[in-house]
Amino acid sequence: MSRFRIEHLNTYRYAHRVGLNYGEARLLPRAAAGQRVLERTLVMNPFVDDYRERDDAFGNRVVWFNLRQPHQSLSVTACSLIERTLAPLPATSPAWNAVVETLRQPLHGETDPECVAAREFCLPSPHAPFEPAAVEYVRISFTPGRPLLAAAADLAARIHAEFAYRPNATEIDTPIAEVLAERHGVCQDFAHLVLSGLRGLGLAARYVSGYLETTPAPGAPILLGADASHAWISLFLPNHGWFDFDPTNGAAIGEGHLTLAWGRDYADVAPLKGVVYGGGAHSLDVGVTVTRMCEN
Amino acid sequence: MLSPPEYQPLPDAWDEMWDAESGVRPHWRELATGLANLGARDWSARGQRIHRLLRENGVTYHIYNDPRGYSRTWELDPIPLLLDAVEWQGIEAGLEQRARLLDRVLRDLYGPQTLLKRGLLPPDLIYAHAGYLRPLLGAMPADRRQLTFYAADLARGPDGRIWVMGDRTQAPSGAGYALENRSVMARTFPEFLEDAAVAKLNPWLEAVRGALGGLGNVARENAQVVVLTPGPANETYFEHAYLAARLGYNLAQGDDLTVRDGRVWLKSVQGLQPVDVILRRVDEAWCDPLELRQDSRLGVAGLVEAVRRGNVALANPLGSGLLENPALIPFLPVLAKALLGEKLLLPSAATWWCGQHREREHVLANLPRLVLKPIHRGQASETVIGADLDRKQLAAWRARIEAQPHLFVGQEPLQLSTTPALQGGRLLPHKASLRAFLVSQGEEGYASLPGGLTRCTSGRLLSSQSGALNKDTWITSVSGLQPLAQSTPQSASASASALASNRRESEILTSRAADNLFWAGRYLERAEAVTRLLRAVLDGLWEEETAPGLEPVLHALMRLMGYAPGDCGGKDRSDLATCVRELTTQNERPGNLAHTVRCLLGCAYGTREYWSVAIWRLLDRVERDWGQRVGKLARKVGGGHERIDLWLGRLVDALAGLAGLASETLPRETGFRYFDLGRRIERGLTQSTLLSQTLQSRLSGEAERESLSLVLASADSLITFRRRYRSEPFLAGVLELLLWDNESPRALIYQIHTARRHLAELTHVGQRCNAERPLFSAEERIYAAAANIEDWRIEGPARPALIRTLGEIAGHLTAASEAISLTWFTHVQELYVLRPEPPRP
Repeated sequence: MSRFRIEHLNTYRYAHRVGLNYGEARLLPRAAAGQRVLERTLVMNPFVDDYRERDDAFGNRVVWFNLRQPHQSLSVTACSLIERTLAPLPATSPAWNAVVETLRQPLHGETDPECVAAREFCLPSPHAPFEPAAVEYVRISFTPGRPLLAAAADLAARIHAEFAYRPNATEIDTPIAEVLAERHGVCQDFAHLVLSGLRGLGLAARYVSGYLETTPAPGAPILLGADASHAWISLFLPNHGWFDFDPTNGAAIGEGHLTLAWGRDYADVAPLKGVVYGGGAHSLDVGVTVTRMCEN
Repeated sequence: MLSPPEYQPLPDAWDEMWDAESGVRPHWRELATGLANLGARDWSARGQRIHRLLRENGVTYHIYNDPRGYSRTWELDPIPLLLDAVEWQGIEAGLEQRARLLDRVLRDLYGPQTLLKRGLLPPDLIYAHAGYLRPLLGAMPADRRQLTFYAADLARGPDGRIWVMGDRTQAPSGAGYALENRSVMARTFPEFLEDAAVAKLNPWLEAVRGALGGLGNVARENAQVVVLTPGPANETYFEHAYLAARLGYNLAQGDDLTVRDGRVWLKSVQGLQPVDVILRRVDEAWCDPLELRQDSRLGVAGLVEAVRRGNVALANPLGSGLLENPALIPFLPVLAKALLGEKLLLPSAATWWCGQHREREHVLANLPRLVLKPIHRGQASETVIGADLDRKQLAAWRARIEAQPHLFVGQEPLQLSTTPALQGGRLLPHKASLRAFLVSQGEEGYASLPGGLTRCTSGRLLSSQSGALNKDTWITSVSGLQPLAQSTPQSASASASALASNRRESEILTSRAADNLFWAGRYLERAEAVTRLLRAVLDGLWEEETAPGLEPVLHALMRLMGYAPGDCGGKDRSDLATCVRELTTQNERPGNLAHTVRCLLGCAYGTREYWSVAIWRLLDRVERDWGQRVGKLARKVGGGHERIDLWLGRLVDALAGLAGLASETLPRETGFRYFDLGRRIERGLTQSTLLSQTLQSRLSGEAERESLSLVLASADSLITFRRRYRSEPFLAGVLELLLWDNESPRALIYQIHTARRHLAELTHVGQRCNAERPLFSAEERIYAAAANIEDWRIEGPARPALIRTLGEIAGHLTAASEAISLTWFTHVQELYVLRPEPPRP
């Protein structure tokens, strides 16, 4: 069991004064398997005139806010304390094609509510649309009869091995086919590619937004704010729950993977969304610091 | 020729009027006799009358990519569709049940979702639909009616039964057109409507008003209701403005609303007004750029949150588009049993959802026979008829369905019944479908409009977008039966209170409407002055001698129209003539006549709920004359000046008529004042610019007299001048008449006094306005100039001072206009969607 403190700072600066500002933040971490949230707060500067917290359709914590006085910058800082216990993956799992059969809903009688909810993650979504090439890529790891979790681990390893991590080469809406053809991208490109492929097979898979503790090289100082938000995927195994894999790092997640929110794809869990009236050009600076607390 | 016996129904279709065995069906007989008795001449007269009424009432339906632009006239067939009252009662009951059922389904899916948990609906059918708006989950109170409006597209099959072809729940359109169709028919065929005891439509509006008024969650005496429209470019904008005017609500675009403290507010000249209920005609996905489509500029940021907090009710609610999914159709009988404990009364078109294995196999095996539809509209793939597809297209559809089967349905095509329509002077069978409209009456169920919008075509496909013919729909009682009981109660006290609430609301003027009315006033005045001046100059060109006084006025005119003196013209007469032609007919550029007229029409469309039918008639004439005639003249090389003059004359008459009618019909309290403020300020500006330009040109006595005549003519004051002074124009007299004579409605001082009076009234109800000071200064300058009355000769010292003064007055008027705009009109700051930083690793 470990504890982590997360500080996630976002600063918007606007060229001109903003009159009205409406925003939605998904920056308060949610509880998840192996993760307890001990503290979470969101601080905004300047003060907002209207602040509401709620859980969204996927159970993520959302803050809706509105500023009415003119301002030229806005900072949104989320601070949280998380207790993390890493549960090992089950040694065995059913064949993936059997899972697909279970997920395929018979229409009569009472159905397992977990499976009903999971169906939402079997369907294509705006950033992870149906893409035959992605299905073909994924199918190489998902040979008939192969256990689900073993196949998923293999897939994650293949992404890590065959794709180059290249920041700024892609945009948030770069098509999956292009990522697949170029064999490069960043974490959310890999997540969307894998989601599209897994859903194409009939599996339920969701997008997880979170943080990754980055361990500095031995001897190097810890750089505050250098940690970044991260994204990976989670796969549904009926009667067992969800299991997370990190295609960017080629394996199942570790203790340093801290979950913020989940949804069908990036668009459901964007950390900060906003609409402002006035303001002109704007910039956003983001800093994330993940600190492992000393065991006491 | 028009008599029913000569009508030839199609051999294998059910005909609404004609039965092969017994001839004309009983409920048509009255009308059929009437039809037969009308001569062919009467027929064509009535058809023309319908067309003219629709055109004059401004009934339009905007068809995308139609070169006729904003105002395409609605096509209404003079022959209505008749339905027997007894049959209608059955249909009504079926529709009412269907509305109740869909309401229950909606509340469940945005609430507990027991239908999914109990396996009564497959989850993919919901989760995959674009109308499933996740931000609205949990935001619909499950204990209250949510579906306020329901519309259904109905058609009769060859078996004579009425089938439901589709459900409209998002923001159903068409009821306004149905009401307008009826009012036009009532004016064209009053005797037939009377004889056939046709059920009346107007009480339904009362039911709508009651339903909307009751939606407000807030315990306020009069719920403030607005109609939210995407604006004049929308295909059914006519209907939005029509309903707003008929129901007495403010018409608002997204920018007219703002969310503060989790509430919705209307921006009005009286300040922010709280809004309790929104009659929504903006498609739901476009309603909030924060939580729904981020690229939308039609919505209101924060609207979803206001809904979530229960501070505003929308009709229909956000998320109701989910019910338009045709894949729901096959599940409705089971849902009716489960949710209502009732048997579904109306049959729906046989539909197979490809998200299910056996159904998909059926569809794929019968592709060439079925109608193929995506589960939501607006996707790349539209509805197609399998029979229309060639081998290659069928293969493409097969591949599309196999790749994502849950996104498609197959539907059994229905052989639509036919009904007689008038085409080329003959009665011909047209395939018909009927859109019926219902509105919630709370616990009492739904009230249906007794009638609806019938559309028919002699072609294959039916849709307003592809330009079908429309018909009024009459629910008639066959003699011997009781006339239909009105389905909506209408007590005297209810209509009295409706009257009171209407009056309250009509006092609120949105900032946008005030803005449009003010500018309508300015553009109208400018167009009128410029047109008069053009005519005056044209007249001057007819004279034998080249008129030396013409050129300076022409330059002043060019300046008013935003041209530089070098842009056209020259020394001799033919150059001047060419120049006038160009000014008159040139394609739009800022300031010229074409542009001014277009801006005027734009402002009028933007406030169409304020204008009377008589005004529409004139606006229509302006648009037709301008758009068609004058434009054509321009293109025709060497077109005669007489013709230009003729059309300019017509334009002036229409514009002057508009000004007069507007003054009489606009609501006095506020709307009229903004409109008239615009006119007064524009007239003051035009007058001072013209005079100062003319004075600057230092003409000889003869030429100056000519210039002054033209200036007087442009102010429509030449005759007044002659009568008053019994002389040809001279400067001192012109100045008195056009500048400082308090009694002359054309005088600058009169414009300023009137504007100041309006301002005083408006600031009384609203905020202070900084326009008062510049208007006061302008008035001072005029009095000062008037006092300096001695010597206006060209060389005299008073003349440059007067020119300077006129310049100052124009400056003050411009400042006043800006101050008015700053105080009252919406100044929407540009909206930016903030892009979040995506995760990097």
